[in-house]
Amino acid sequence: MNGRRRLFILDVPENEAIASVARDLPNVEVNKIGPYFVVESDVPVSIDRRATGVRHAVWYSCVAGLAGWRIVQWDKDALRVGER
Amino acid sequence: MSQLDDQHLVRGVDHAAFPTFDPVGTVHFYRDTLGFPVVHSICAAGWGSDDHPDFIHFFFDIGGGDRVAFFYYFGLEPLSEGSKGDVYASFGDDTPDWFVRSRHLALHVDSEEHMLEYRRRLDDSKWPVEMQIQHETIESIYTHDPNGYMVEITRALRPVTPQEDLDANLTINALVDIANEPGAGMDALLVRKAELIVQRAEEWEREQAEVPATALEASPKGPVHA
Repeated sequence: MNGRRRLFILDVPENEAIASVARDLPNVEVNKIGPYFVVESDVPVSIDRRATGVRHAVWYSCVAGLAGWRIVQWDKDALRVGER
Repeated sequence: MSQLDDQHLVRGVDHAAFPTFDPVGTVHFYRDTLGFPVVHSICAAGWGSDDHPDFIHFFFDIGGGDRVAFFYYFGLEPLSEGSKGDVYASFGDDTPDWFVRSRHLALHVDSEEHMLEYRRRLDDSKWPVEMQIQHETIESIYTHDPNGYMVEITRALRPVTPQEDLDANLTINALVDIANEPGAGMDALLVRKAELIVQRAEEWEREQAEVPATALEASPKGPVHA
């Protein structure tokens, strides 16, 4: 357990593209805890919705948990987490 | 202690019942358009009390041994007066549509072909499909029956995975933990759920690895104790 902030996403086929886009972001690591992707970073994270290619219903239900972060944007353009 | 006390015993919907003021339209919709057989009906003169109207209680087979049922009360005028909603519950113009639509009956089909067959039947009728939508892992068509009740016919895009059962249980445990806190919203839920994920997810995965896949397939779907 480190001090980095975490965003949890359930590992199901629909969410794989979201985890994949997050994995390619600078200063972001994507790890696993059980069946969850854990997006970890020391700096605010922004995931571009169009880059993920996911449908709206998937996009707007992809976040499973927040540790240290709060959501500052979650719309048709991006999911962005920032300082709590 | 009973041998049944930890068993999930119910077996689906025996019947879900709704009032109707349009029995002709209701029969045309469920029996003649959708093809749901009439499987039971009761003609009753009152029901115990003096002022109870005579009524017909009739049932349609919705598959799986389950039934949707209606009450038609002779001589009863509609009681529901709002501009939105259905004959049982209506709302004013200022009520958002997403709230009015939140209560609905969703019927399951096994494939896209079967869903589209119901789409064909509805589109050839007075009650055409109003929406066809892909949600997270399901696809659905929607219409309203002659009583204003919203009816959904839905198919799974893929089987539900075991981790989705875990996730559902962690969500609901988190919701129960935070819902009564003043002002609690999605943020409070996701923070609480992250704590539960850290507590439970790795242990759950180890437990899953110990269960042979054949046992998982053979076991009836029961509660996940997260």
